Amino acid sequence: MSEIEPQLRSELEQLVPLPRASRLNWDDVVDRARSRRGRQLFRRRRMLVVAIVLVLLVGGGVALAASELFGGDPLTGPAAPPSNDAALRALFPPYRIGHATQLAEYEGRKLFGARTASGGYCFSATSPTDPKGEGGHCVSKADALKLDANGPVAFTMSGWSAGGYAPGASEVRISGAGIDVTVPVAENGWWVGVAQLPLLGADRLRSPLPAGQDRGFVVARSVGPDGRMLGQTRVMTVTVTRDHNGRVLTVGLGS
Amino acid sequence: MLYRERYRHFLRVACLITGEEERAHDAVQEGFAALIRSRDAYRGEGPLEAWVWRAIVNEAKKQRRNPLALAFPDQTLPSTENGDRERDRILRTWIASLPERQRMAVYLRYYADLDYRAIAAVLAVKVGTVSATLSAAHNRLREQLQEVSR
Repeated sequence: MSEIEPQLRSELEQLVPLPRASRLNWDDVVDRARSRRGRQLFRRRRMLVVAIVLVLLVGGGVALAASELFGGDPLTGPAAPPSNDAALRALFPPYRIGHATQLAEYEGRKLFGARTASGGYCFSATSPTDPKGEGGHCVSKADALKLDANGPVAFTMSGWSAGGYAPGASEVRISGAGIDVTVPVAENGWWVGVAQLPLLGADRLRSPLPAGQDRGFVVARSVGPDGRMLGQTRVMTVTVTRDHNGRVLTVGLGS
Repeated sequence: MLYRERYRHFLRVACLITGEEERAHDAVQEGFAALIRSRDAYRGEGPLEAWVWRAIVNEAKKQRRNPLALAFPDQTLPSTENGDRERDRILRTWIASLPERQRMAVYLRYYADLDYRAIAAVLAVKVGTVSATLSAAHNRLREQLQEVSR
């Protein structure tokens, strides 16, 4: 045990005390366990049918045809170093992630991306606070289809890192919810930057978002070499929740 | 019974992971429900409590608003009632700056009060890895404290 532990334990205990146990309900646990069992059987059968259909479709070369139609693999760049390659695969084991490519680098942050066995895309980013890249993001099916078609996407990862794909753009302006930064876009269309929210005030009564709002959006606007705006993609949604005294309780990030 | 005795600890850690008490409560309830459904899978190979924590931590990660973005801003920590705001700010910044695995190890050590062996079972790593992970987290805190005192 480290010598720092006893004092740290007491300070962290004060920082986040134990909540009340007002919602303790074992009967609810048992009900949830029972109701799921019946649904699970039905779901397993349905999943089996869906899986067979998917295998047939994918096996038939739908993914290949789509990529040929729309212009090929967007993940272009040098192979990721072995440690980052392994880190990305370790992040989301169920997705069976392939070998990673280094896509972009800016101000100490690097973006890595790879395809998954089911045709999706997963990404990780290293940052000054996360040099091993222990945080990442796997895009939704809709965004995977966009990438297949060389369309723009944007997302957040750990250590306040944000990244995305903006083909044809020379820079991306990330703004909203108090954030206003511009990051360059690499020649392959990828970018990585920082999207850090403003800190809460000491009284915690005021939202960290501009004008005291409790909901905000962060967007990435891609700008072409001639200064024209090419498009806009949502990076994240920010939602503030408050306790019954109106003090800010949490600031949640959503995609 | 573990559920009754440790519910508040489960809820606190789940709240830190999900950022919301409502989702945290759901994570605890669903975690225990999942354990009931898969109770035959427990072979007694590790501490029972670690098996329970693993289910709840996994469920809480699923319930996160953005389940695949592992970012965790310092503002998602609930507010504190004590007066030492500067020290609180340092601790919040410290937790927010930790990579995912270090942060989970800190939660399980200090907010779940688990020993290294149990934390290793929850995170599916070796005990030595837990020791190294917590040591790295402590070093980062020392660095941040030194920066402030300069």
